[in-house]
Amino acid sequence: MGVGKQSSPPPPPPRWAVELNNPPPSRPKNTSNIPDPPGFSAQRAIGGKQKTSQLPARKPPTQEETDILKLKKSWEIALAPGKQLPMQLIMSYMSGNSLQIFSLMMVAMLFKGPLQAIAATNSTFTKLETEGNKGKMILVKATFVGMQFMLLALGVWKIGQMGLLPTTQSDWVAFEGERICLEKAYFAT
Amino acid sequence: MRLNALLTLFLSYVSSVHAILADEAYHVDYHHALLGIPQAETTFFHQPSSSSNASLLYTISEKAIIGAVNPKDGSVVWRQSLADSLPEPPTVVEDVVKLPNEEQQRALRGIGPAKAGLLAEEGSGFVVSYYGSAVSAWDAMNGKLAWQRFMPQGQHVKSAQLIPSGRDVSSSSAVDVVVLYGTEGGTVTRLDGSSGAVVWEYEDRSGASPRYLASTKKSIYYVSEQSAVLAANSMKIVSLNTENGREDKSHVLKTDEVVTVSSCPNVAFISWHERSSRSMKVNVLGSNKVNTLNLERSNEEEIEAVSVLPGCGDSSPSHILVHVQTRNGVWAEVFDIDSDSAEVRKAYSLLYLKGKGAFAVSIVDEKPHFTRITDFEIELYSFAPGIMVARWPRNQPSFGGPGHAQAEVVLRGQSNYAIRISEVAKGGEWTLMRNGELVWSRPEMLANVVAAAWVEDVSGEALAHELDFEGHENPLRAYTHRLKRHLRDLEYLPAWLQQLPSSATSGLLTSKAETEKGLLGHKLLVVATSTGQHVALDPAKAGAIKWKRLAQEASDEARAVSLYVHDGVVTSYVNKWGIMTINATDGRDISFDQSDAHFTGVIIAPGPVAPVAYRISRDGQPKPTAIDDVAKDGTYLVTRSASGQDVQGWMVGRSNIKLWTFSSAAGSRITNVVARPAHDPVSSIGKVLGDRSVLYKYLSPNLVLITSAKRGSFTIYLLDSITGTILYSATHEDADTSSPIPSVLSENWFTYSFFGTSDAKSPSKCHQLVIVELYESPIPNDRGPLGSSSANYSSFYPGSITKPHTITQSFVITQSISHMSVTQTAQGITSRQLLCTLPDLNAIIAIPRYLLDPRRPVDRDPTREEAEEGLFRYSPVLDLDPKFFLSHSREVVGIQKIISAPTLLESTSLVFGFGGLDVFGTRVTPSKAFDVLGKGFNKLALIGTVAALGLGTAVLAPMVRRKAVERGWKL
Repeated sequence: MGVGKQSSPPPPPPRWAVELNNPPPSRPKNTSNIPDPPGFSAQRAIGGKQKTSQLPARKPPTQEETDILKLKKSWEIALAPGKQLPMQLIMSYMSGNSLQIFSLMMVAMLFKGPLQAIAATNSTFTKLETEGNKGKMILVKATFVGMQFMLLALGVWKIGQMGLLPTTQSDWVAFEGERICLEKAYFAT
Repeated sequence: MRLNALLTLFLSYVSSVHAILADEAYHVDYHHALLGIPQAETTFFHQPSSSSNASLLYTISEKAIIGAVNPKDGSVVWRQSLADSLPEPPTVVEDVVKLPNEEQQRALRGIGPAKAGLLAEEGSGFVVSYYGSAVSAWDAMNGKLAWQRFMPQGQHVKSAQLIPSGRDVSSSSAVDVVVLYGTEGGTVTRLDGSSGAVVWEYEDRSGASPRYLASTKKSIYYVSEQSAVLAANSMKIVSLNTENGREDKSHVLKTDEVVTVSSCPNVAFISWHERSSRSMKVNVLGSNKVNTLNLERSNEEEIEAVSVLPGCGDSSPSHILVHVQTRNGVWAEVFDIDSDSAEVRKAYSLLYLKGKGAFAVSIVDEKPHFTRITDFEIELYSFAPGIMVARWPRNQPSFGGPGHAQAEVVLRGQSNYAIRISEVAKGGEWTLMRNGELVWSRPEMLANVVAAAWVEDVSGEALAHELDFEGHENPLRAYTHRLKRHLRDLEYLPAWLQQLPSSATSGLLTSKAETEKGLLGHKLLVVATSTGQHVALDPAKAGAIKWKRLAQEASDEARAVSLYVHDGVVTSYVNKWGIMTINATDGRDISFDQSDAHFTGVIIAPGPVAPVAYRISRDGQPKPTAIDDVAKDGTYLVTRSASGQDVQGWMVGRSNIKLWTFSSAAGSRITNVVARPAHDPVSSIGKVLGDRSVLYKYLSPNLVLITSAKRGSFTIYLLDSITGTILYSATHEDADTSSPIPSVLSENWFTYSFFGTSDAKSPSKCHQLVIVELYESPIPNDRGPLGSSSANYSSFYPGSITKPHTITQSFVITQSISHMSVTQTAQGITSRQLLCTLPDLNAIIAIPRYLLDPRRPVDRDPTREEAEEGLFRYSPVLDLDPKFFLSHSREVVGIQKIISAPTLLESTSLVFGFGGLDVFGTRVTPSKAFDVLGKGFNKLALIGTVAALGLGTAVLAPMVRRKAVERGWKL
């Protein structure tokens, strides 16, 4: 690359660009025993594309393998709400039973989350569902829904703790009628 | 219903602190501080101090209350009860409880055998009263007791006079008091005016009954009636020396039925006549001469009443005015007395006038002047020429005709008279007129109120009926009915739109008080007195009198027993007279049905068409007021015999059947019978416990609580009034049953109070308040043997009457309670208060119900769940917190009964107390005024804020729009 001879205006490309596009000069023989600095690879520096294309292509996984993998993954998703359960339990316990904005918000979330999740059960698993694992996926989905129901149960338990469930006699006393005596006595005014 | 229960729960917590706020006192309550109807002989103008010309009106009323009233505005300067200071009368019969019945109370406290008198001497600084066995001197300015002297052995004072003491005025009183007392053989005692110490005593051992005492400057005259065996109607007159009380001389006169003795400084005289006689005899005391005075007139009307008024001049000759009342007219004869020759000569007579009238004698410049007061005018006669010197028309007639009057006349210049007249009308109203114009009037007849009833505003009834209809129909029909109603209402729309601007502005400007009046309902209070007056008070206008009505023909014995208000008509049941119906809004008579029946009570029961009144005879038998007008078959009544021996249960209808009789045990009598108030709504049928379980209340509309007392102990019985089954009873040994045992029953609880005397078990004497709550079952969530069905049941089914589970607690209170009542609200959601009269403090208090919870834990702190229920640790002494006092700083004397009524506001209950002397009304909010905006709410500020925000928006909106457009163009 002659530098000074060219009269035309285009400026020469910067050095770093030149170096990037060209492989590093081969090292002299006497220096071949000096290891490259860590992280530097003479081959990679030339460009990954050329290198990987040179590697032998990985054998694509079989259909069964993907199905197993997908099933594993979906089991993971299905059991994830169960892992939340202890944490939610502790949170419910810690937030107290008084009617306050935080405990109320928490209870609302306890109900909203599982209900939304149950509604979106199918869409959660569409990517992982294949023709082959369809039968097994039913069990997975059922587990997922069951887990959500456990969370819901926690919510119900929580509002029960807060006294919002009409489970005691006092909640129904207003609907009980007074016994009416057929006779009525009148007294002097 | 569910909302109700929630509210109840909420309100029971709210109610923990309540008091009358300083800015409410004197605004929400009203009070007529009364004296009772003033008596003719004991009412006069008097200058309390010699340094000032201002005089006060002094009186002793028929209720034995002594008081001074400011003649300028009619306010009470001071008042004292003469009966209160008397030693307790001995209990009449052993082993029988002293009857607290009204006749006896009247006999003990009121007119009765005890005679009251009031004496005053100018410049002495005190007034002297006698009543019963006591002679008392009161400071004329402030009513403080200067001294009091009781006659030996409780003998009643018959008469008293003031005489000049003749001592040095600077060191002691200028006047002494001469008192006559005793029954067989009187004793005349001269008491030192400054201390009440005895100066001398004169005893009459002849056994004649002492009658009168008269005095002049020179001597004292003692008049006694000889025993009837010796000589009927003969009076012995003994003149006594004022210095030492020795007998000077005596003479005997033969007199007639009606005897009057009058004293003047220079002459005393006795006059007598036969009823409806046309002549009168007068004797100047100290001489034997008897003068016969002629009361003839040309027209031959029968004389109804003759009364004698002395006209005393200090130095001038004295005069007698004889006031003659005939059926249709009134006139007077004036006589003058020559004290030297003891002769009485006719001076002239005052013209006959039609109608009723009263006369008053007043002294102007040492000369007596006579005033005649009729319904139309006031005439003043001067003695010297004997002609009318002044005359004033009256702007309104007196209530029931002039009764008696006192006049204060002032002469300015030669003939410019000014007159102040205090007049007590026959209807019991005490008025003061200045030159014929009414200055003030005091409704003293309200001291005799025996029955009271609330009058609802009738105008809302039609709507209430329609709403009731809609509530009980099926939804579709109710809806169409409602639609039709609203369409009908459209015809009022134009009128409503027209007055909308004015109502909007007035709504902005009206005070909170006026708005509240609208919310409380336009209720009137109608009261009936024992003397036949019916008066309507307006609770919203500080108890002002709306109308008053006098039952003219009613005899003296007639006593209103009961008032019943229905559809704007007041029906008054008057014993020994009849039934009177009055229009509640203007007080006009509608009808009266005179029947001389004797009855002790009235029960209003539903009839086939209209409510039917049953009159209860003395033995407890119910009788319908009209024979064919009977209640529906199978109507149950509970009656009480007047003797206090039994309570009876009746089934009435076409035939009356006595179902049961509850007789008191031997030696005891029934002192009190109470039932649940007619309007006693229950918002929740159970009580919610801390663990959210329910204790079911024992609710029966047919409960009746009977107090049966004998000497030293009493028993409380709770009965089912249909079958007469005793559901609960409790006996208290060692109780003072001569003091009242008030009780009240409401909802599922009752309470009573008594004075416990000391015994082995409880060594202290104290007033106790006992609260009993009734539940279906001791086990929570259990509705008792009848089960949880809410079906109807009959008391006659076997096993349907179950005994309640009772929880009881008693408290020691520091005051005696004479009457109890309970606040009432429209829905019963607001927590209740126990209203009590404290006779010793002259106060009315309201004890919050939550303090009287018998489930309060004893000797331990409440658990968390109990605390949640609002229970706190039981303490045996219930402090009567000053915040409980509804009467705050007012002195409310002699309240015997308290009634309560709901208002349109659920939070508020109207309260009215009456009976003995005063009437007092207020309104209470037991759970605070939760449905009214407080005084802190500023309507103007709210409207102002909204208006300012609106204005701001209006100004800013175009600016913002412009900015948005500009921003759009820039891009």
